[in-house]
Amino acid sequence: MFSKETEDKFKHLVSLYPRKRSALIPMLLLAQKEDGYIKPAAIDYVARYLDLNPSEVDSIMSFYTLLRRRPVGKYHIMICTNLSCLLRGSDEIEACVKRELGVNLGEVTADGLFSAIEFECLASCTTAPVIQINGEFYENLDVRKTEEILDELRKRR
Amino acid sequence: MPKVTINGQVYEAAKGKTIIQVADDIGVQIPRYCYHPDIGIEGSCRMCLVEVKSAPKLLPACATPVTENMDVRTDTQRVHEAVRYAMEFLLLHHPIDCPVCDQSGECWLQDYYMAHAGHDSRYPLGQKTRRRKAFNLGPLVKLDQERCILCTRCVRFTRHVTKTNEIQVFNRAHNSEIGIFEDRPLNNPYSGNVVDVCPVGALTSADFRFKARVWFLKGTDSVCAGCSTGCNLRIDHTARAAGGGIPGYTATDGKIYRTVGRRNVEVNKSWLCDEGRLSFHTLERWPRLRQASVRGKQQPVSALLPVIHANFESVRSDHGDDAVAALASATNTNEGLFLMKKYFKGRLDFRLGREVEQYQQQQDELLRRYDKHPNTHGALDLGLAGGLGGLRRLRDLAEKKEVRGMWISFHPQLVGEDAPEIIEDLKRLIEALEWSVVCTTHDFGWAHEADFLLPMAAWAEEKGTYTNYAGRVQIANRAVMPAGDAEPLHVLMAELLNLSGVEVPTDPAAIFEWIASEVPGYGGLDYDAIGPSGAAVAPVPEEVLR
Amino acid sequence: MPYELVLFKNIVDPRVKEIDRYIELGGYKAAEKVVKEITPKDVIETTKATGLRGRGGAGFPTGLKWSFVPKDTGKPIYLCCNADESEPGTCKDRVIIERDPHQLIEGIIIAAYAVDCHLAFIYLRGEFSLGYRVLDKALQEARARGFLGGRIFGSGHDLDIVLHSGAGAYICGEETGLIESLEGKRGHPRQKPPFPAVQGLYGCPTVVNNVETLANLPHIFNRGVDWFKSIGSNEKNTGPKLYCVSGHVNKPAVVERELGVPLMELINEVCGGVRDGNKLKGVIPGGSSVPILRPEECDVRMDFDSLAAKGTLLGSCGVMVMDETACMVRLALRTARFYAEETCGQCTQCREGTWWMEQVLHRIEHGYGKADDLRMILDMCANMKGVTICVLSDACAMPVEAMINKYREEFEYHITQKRCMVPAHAHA
Repeated sequence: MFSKETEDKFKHLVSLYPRKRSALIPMLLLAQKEDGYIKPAAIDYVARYLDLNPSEVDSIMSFYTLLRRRPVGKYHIMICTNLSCLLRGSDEIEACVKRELGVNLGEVTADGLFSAIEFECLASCTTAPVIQINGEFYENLDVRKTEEILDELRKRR
Repeated sequence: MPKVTINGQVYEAAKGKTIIQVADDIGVQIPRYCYHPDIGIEGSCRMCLVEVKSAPKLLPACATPVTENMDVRTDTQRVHEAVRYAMEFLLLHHPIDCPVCDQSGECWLQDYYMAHAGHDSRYPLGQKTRRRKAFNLGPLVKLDQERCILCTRCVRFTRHVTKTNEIQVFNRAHNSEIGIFEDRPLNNPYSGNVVDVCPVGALTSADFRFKARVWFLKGTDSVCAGCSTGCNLRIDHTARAAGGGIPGYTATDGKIYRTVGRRNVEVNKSWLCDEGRLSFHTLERWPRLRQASVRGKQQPVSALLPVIHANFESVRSDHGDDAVAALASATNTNEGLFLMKKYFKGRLDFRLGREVEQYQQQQDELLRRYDKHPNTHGALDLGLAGGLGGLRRLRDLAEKKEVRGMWISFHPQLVGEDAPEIIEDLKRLIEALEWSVVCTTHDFGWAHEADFLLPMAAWAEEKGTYTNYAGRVQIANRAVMPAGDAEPLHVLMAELLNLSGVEVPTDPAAIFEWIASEVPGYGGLDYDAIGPSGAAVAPVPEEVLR
Repeated sequence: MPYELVLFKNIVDPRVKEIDRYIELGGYKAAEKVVKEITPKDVIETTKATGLRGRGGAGFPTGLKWSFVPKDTGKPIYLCCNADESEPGTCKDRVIIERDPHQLIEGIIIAAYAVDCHLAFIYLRGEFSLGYRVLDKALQEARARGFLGGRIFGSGHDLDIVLHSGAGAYICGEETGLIESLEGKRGHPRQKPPFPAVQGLYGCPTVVNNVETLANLPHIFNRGVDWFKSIGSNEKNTGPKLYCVSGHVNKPAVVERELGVPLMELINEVCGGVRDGNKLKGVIPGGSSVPILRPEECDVRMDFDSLAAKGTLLGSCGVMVMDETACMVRLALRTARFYAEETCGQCTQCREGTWWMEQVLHRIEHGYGKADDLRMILDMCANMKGVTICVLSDACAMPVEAMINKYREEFEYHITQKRCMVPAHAHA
């Protein structure tokens, strides 16, 4: 189901905790890293691994916003729109990303390269406005900087 | 024993009990949704908030253990306000589809709205969140997510009771919903209980849905006859005579619409297995035997009994007492079996198969047992597993003409099927006998081979006691009238005994007093002592089991 | 006298995240001394004596929290470092994690020793990818040195630390939500009592401490109680403190000052004053869960008790500054939306109240507000406070209530005029 590397990591994770169920969320994050999102088959797999009903795994998964049941773009953009970012112009950043991508928040661009969602406070308030792309911070943004970042990613493909 | 004051009254409470448990014991009403005594404390509906002196915040009665000198108030303005607002929050997105909701009439939202809220909705009707309605969670359970209040009783039932975890909360916040993974059906053997525990119309029974309005139904406390566990249940049925009844339905006989679990912590907590819950349908599985007949010719029961008695007497005088025997059913009550034993002078047995080996064996870790008869323990207590050796041996005796005339009582298993070899043996037994009486509940083809055919009242049509696998004697009540001319076995036996010159009461409670005076372990018991939740009798002695 | 940095002393040194450099600057001395020379009881007593209060938001005395851990249960004792920093306006722990991870690890070693814990967890926010890599490396370095593992520092004490990643849920910053999540469940906070100190992770005694709280410990045991108590505004508010000053200031920054630094000093002297010389409109002093202060209320020290006296809270020190261009309706809406998004959904009032509040604020913001709406929201707020398992419900109700009460004219303008009172509705 998963690569040797991921399987090894699963085994390691389960060994870290006094109760193996604690490995559930880190395991799902790893599964997502490999597949891009969490497939029903992965839920079944992890459930069997930890002696859980897949329903429990799905329920727990659906509680956490970083875990997703749908594929996202190669570059997944999380735009913080909470208070500090709002005060520093996240509206413009959000508008810029939507304009640049040509899709609504929550959608994936036709080439599969980008997707963007609105996100809650990313703990980067003093460097607002901020976005995260695939887990990395882009801070102190303005519209021009945002455009440059997206251009750069487009070139990198 | 901590002393607790509730609304100014002082009570002694057992240590470790929560406020809501103490209140329930003493009859103080505290509203609740998530709290259920048999599925663990969640404390999330926030309906049971009470005021406790010296606690700055209101405390959840379900999750707060009582302590010495605790001063609790459930009736203050603050408590009323809290409950009223909890109700307003819960009803924000309620679809108000009570007219087409099966829960109407037994809905805790309706009840608590009337008792504690009574507000006008401040939420625009057209903007309520729409969710998935009326879809199958499993063969027995339908879910309406719009009516769900997320008390998570069903979730915790599958977590703590069946330990199967099929039902879960998905998503979070306002998007939280009850559901199952990838629509994989909720088909554990106890699924129907989630309908019982759901306080609102979210989970409804696929079996009962739209069959009847609950306010037309009368509830009769009884005991499940589906296996030897003897789970306590309530039979919901029509009963015009008692003031209920569905308009237009000529329900003088009554009709059973559903059964629901009745709490008995000693036996089944609040639960029923699905097979037991639906076992009343077995009564409708074949046409009922409504009239007595002699070799195909219908006769009134009252005219037939003297003939039957005379026949047994003549076999006895021609071939000796041993030529008469009887086969009883472990689905009959202690009262019926006891009188039967009296009439047949102990020459009777009840074993069709492996009841005695199986009646205490668990089929799973919860409630179900392999023996699908409710009264095997009782039959053993009454000494019905004597030298006759059960159905197979009786067949041999009949084939050898050592037994010539027999009474055969047959009540089909309410759960599962009677084994085909049992029916085969019964057929061969009837064929081998010189003459036979079959007393049964349904119009089975094979029974017509008997000389005499008598209709017998089925489970739920008679009152009497069963003794469950653990030796707990419990009262099964009559909910509906027997079909046609059918009579309870104890009534038939009382009449036969009367014909033989023994004066016998037909009232089950009086018969039980007779049992109590004669059967070891039953001494000192009567219907009052047994009550709605049963009483333990001494266990079956080892030698009887052998 | 200029303030002498403690927690941030080495923060500008890019190499301090390497263990060699950290040790070179005096690191791990405190942990070694504690583990080898001081009894756990004395560690707790010393910490109590400093008056150190939890930096996660509640301000509960740290030493006292440790002392609640029963020692004789036969069960293992766990320590969880709460690194799930998610309170809007707060980004202080992330700085420690990403730039000075050994300071945190050293703090964990001291705390774990104090409560007799042999397995500690760092519950790290799932969004902190860099932080994860940095901490993971730092933990490996510490293990290689024998600072973690069996018989740490050659003492008799065993300790390992597991780095655990969350997956996006604000409520997992609540200590019992964190514990549930660490057990591999939905992060639903638990009904208390029992408190985690008695029944926490896997039903065992558990201490949950914030990153910044733990980072204070090495300094306490290097420099002593008196030194620690000499910092701060009074006996009950001692030690260094990190402040995240964001929003409409000229130089937004995470800065360290004594606990109890005057708020206006923080804004004007440390962060360059209100942006572009604009007029101050209000300050949220402790993260989005706390009531806002109007400018006339801002003459206050940033400590637990001074802010409580003003009807607000120090919280997690997420100081958000608003100038005259900020629209309070928009901010109230965004606040309510956050909680409506992040409530775990188990308690009725929180699940439905936060969402309903967002709906009503949304219609006010967009010009569809009704005359009765403000009364209705305040009514909701009143009935969302103090009735739920955790305080997320209160954390939604309190700030929104304060915004409406303190800037009521702005909300009324929105309702009656169907547009914003702030010229040009400028947020940037």
